[in-house]
Amino acid sequence: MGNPEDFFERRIRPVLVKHCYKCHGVDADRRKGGLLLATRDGLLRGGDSGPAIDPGSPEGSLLIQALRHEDKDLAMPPKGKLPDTVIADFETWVKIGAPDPRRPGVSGTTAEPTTTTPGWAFTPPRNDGPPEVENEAWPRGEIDRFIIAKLEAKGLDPAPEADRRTLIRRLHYALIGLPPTPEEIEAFVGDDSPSALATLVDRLLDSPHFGERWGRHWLDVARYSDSTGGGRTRALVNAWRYRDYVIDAFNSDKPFDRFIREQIAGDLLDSTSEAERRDALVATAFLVLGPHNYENQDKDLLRMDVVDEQISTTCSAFLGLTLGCSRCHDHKFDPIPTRDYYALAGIFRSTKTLTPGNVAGFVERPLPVSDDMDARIAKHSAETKRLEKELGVVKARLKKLGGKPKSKAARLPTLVGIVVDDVKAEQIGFWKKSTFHPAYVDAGYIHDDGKEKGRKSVVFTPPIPQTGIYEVRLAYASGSNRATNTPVTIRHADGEKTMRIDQRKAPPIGGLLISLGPFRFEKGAGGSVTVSNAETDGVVIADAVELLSPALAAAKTETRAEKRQQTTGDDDDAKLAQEREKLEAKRKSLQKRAAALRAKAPPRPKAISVEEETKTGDWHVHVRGEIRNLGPKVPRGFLSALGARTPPEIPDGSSGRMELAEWIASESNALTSRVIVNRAWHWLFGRGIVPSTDNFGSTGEEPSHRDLLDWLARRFVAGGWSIKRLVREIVLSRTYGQSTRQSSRARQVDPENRLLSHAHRIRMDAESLRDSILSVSGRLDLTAGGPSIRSASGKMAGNKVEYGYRYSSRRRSVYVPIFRNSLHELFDVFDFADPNFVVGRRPMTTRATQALYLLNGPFLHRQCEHAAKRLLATDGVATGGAPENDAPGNDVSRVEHAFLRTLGRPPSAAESRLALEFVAAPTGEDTEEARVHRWAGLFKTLVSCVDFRFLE
Amino acid sequence: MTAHPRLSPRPTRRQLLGSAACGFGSVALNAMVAKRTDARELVPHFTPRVKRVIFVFMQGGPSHVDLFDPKARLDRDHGKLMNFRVARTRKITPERVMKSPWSFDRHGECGQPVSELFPHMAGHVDDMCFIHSMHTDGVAHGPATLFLHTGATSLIRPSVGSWISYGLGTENDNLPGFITIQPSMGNGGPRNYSNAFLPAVYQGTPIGRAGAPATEARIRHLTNHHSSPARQRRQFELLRAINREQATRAGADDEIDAMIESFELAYRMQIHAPDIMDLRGESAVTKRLYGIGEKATDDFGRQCLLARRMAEAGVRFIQVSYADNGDNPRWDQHSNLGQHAKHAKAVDKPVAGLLADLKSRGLLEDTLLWWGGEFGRNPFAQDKGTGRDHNPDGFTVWLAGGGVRAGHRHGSTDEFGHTAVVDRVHMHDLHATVLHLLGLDHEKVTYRHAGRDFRLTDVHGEVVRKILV
Repeated sequence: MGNPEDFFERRIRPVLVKHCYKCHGVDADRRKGGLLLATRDGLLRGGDSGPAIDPGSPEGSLLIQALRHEDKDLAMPPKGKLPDTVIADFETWVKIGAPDPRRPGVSGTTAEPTTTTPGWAFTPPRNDGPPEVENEAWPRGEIDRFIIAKLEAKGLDPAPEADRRTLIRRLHYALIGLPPTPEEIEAFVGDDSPSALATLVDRLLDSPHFGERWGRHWLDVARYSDSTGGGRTRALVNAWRYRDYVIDAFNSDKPFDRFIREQIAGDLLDSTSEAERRDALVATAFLVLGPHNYENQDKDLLRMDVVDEQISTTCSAFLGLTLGCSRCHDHKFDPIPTRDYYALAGIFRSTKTLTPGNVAGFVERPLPVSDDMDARIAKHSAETKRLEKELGVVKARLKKLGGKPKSKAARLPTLVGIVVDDVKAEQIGFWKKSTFHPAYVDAGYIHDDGKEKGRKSVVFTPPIPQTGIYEVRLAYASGSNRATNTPVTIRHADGEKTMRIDQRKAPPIGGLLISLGPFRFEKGAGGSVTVSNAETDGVVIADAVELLSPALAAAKTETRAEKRQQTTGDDDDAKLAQEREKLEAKRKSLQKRAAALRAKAPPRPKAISVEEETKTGDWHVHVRGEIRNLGPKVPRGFLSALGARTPPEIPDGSSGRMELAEWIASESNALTSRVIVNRAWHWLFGRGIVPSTDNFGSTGEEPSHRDLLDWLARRFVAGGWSIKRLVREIVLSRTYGQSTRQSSRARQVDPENRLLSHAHRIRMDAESLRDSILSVSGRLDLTAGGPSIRSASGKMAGNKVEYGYRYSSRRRSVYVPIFRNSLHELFDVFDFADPNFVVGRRPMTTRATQALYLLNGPFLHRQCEHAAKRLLATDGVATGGAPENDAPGNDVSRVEHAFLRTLGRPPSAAESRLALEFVAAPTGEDTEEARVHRWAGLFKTLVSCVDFRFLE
Repeated sequence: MTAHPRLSPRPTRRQLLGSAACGFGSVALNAMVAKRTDARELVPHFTPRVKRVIFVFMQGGPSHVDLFDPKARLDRDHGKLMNFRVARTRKITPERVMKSPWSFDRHGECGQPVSELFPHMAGHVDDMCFIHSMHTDGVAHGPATLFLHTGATSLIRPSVGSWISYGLGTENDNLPGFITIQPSMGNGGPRNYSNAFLPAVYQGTPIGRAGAPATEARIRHLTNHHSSPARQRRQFELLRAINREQATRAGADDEIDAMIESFELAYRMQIHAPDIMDLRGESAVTKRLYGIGEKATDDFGRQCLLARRMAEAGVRFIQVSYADNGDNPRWDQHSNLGQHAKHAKAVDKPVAGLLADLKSRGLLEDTLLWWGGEFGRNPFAQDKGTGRDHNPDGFTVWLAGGGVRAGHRHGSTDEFGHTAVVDRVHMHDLHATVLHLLGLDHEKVTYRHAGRDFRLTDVHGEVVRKILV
């Protein structure tokens, strides 16, 4: 049976909700019999007739008796007995003691906000100052006091400061994600001034690469991607604007509360400038970038899945809360009732994200442009309109004159008999549609593609209005690849006749029809004409069949249309033709101008965004998360456990997103500031104060230094939500500058290093790995911003772009497209953030596939060859300085330079010896190719080795 | 609720190294495996009936009424307009009944009807267990394909193979638990063999990809195309020596050790793994059995034979895909049902060969062979034309191997073959049953993510006990 509480959740609760709550629920209009079944207390206390259950004894439980319908006066539900299996479930449940995980006051879908004590994270940050410490000499600032106080309590000493080479490498990767150059290293190592560290930090914070590094961290959280993934993936062609927005936000140190507001409700914010408006609109892509399956045919489900993803992502990204569970039931561990979930759902349901379609789409909105551009766009669109109008007039007149004069189709005879077109005929086998040859009836004709001879046929079944003799005519589009022996079978009242038609010859009647002769058909007897491809020697065409009654056949053998095409000398017709020609010329010139105009259209940039729905309002609880099982409506609002107990006032016609953004970005929200300072701590130290960066709930991990987290959060808010200020303060602390040396006592007392008695050794992430390899090879392209998807065909349909995408860009990794269904291989192998989830903490794995990639992958091989050639191009390289040419063949200095470039330090004696042995030519390997290969091998080794892949 | 202590976010050394996402044949267990420490007891919940699963995926939705589930009503009412509830539109509309263009015969002692399209499979029906009452979620390929592989149409969930390798580990510590041979890029692509939130060691290892010839299917980067073996050896020795230097300086660190050992493993792998992929050692008789050497069946035959070799080597979950990368995949005959004949020809002999080969080698006793697509097709013509649209409401899959009743038919669709009506089996139920046969309780194989425990079957799934021996 499994867990008893599960038994309740799966077998009992759904039945109670469905069959009992209406009369015995919290919100029941008049609680029948005084009985409340929506809480455990209610069940035990019972109603007017006494306790509903006696745990352990089904026979002694009124509830069971009522369900069994044994007693007429006590038969529940009154409308009809439930299935025996359900009653048996209830018996079992009572028998095992009626386990009921519902907490007091929490009662499923109609609960009042919970009254249980929330976890630490739901209470506001405390305002305790830094603690007293014994070692007053060590702290450089308040952060250090918090850290050393806990170390002292455990009898631990902090590690010594890391050396300069280690520090600059650590800071470079942490703040800009790029290795320091040998020159930068030597400058820092040689800088004796007391402000050397601060100078370095400020240089890095001011670098445009800071935003690339830190923006990428946020993109992990925002599950950023350039395609939707899902069944039929769609390219998110404009997603790069959001990526650039995020990078700019970190570079310009946009206050984080503003950053939040823009991402949730940027489209609704007031803005003072066009640039601000543009930014804010682009920011809302945050809500849209999820991994949706737009192909889902159940569009109601799709809509709710999108809402669910928006709720989960928003709450996890900004509040560190997991809300997914509450879609179906009250959160079991955190004080988040289902009604809170649907209070949020009301907000997102009032927000338009999807556009309709078999494969649905997402909202894209035009971006504001400069006045000048605006005027150009307006002018262009006016011109286009005028031209189109003119074209419309010409086309209308042409139509009046009888359509396209020059095409053969216009000169085709008019069919006046009983016509069955190919589309109305029964097609057996696969027939292709075509309009290639212009002589056809109605919309086109079909052909057998010259394939599967004997397995395809088309049966024309004309309705016979009255019994009589009809002339049967067959329409086909002739051509040189046609069958000369197409079998056509006429099933008529007196039998069947098959004849072979040569479809290479043009049909004799008006180039469209051939007469098959007169046949007798009886009304209601079901005659037919079958075109088959059996034993044919070319492509078989089936277009239409016409039946002419004897009267018609006689009178209209030559219809007016036929006559017209045969007698071209007619005066009226000549005039008409002239006018037609003139109009046609005009039409052509207009169309040409319109095309030219379209080609010159000023760019109208668009952003992935959302908008307010035309119909906004509260939404229902979905009972058990089922989309078509609607419970009561709940007013739109936020999380009751975070103090939002009364619903906010949402103006008519508004979704409530604006209010949600304000509530999340508010100073008084207990979680928002803590969650982001903790993220920053994690990005710097490799582990957060709360290690579960996206889950501050009770299933997450406890903070190691809650007082420090609270202090940082308050200081962050007081300091104007500045990320750069926060980062600066942390990295300048003594705590951050410690070496990775673990003392033997620390190994015993705090093996996981939660108290930070030394620095964590950090694995180099995928982007740093790629960017570093490219900078070692000298091939890194530092171009910033702009679109990143390259499409050979110019087409941006998802699959076409994504499948088999060739990643040839040498730009920084943050500018490499992220395709959900075909991630860049290096990203895939080296634990890049899964773009389907909010990822505050990347997983870290060690797999043989990583080693294989480094040993055998072509990317590494190519780049290391570049690096080798670059190194060898200079005859000798002086340590630390510019390459010099005065030491020809100096392998020692080359080895040294290779180490500096890759590991940021010179080789040890042993390493130097190993490297020199390796680059020396073994017998028979003294060609230039072999030499380059050896040096490339050295670089390959250096970007694979321990000291490269771990940051001290 | 769960018998498994939960995994720590950082996988243990054993998880990291033991299930390296790559495989090699008969390399002796090495020191690193002997040193392993286990975080979880990987004990099955029941006595397993099989040790491994081979899933032969028929992408696009093979038409059950044209292959295994013939219906007399289709012949009788051919061409008539009748009311059906159409899955795609959720509406009841008049549709033109379309009979199967192929004839059926009864086969074996069990008398299972099989279409003339599958003459080879027809010879093995007494080893197969047909489930005619399948139904699933998702009407379009993407959602239904994801549902088949992950139990969810749209939410991001781990794939069946990942759950199984997570639940059981690998049979052979030197091999990955989950291999997918020539998977499709389409309809969710890698998500169909993704570990999602499970640790990355449980992701499926692709060998080649759909659309490329089977003869070119490889594990990525298993071979070095840039250096001679001697040069590779030299570079590897340098890396090993430098790593040893640096590790000594860094002091004891499990992660550094793991990284160094991952190179050792990779290096041995590239020497030994190609053996398992090399079909040259197989006898001519075996190759013929799979249709290798015949134009129509060569490609899929190779995939099926490779699957058998993987099974022998101890891989837990092996998927073979008859697939391409299109939006309208192989078996997707909306307008030209005749194409089914081509696909049937391509898979019939290889699949029958695989079944026969497994049986003759005694592997079938502890292997589950699973044949099926993401859904079936309608018994009526699409848009009154010449093909059939998707049908998730009723279709057929078959299983063969340990623990399932041989020569058995389970459940049925209605008289048109449109909707499963008797002994209905939802895809969740099939998942639960596959896990059950491996000795796993689908309710107990859970993983905590984003604050709650997840499992393959969500809150659904019942083991189909009637098909078990």
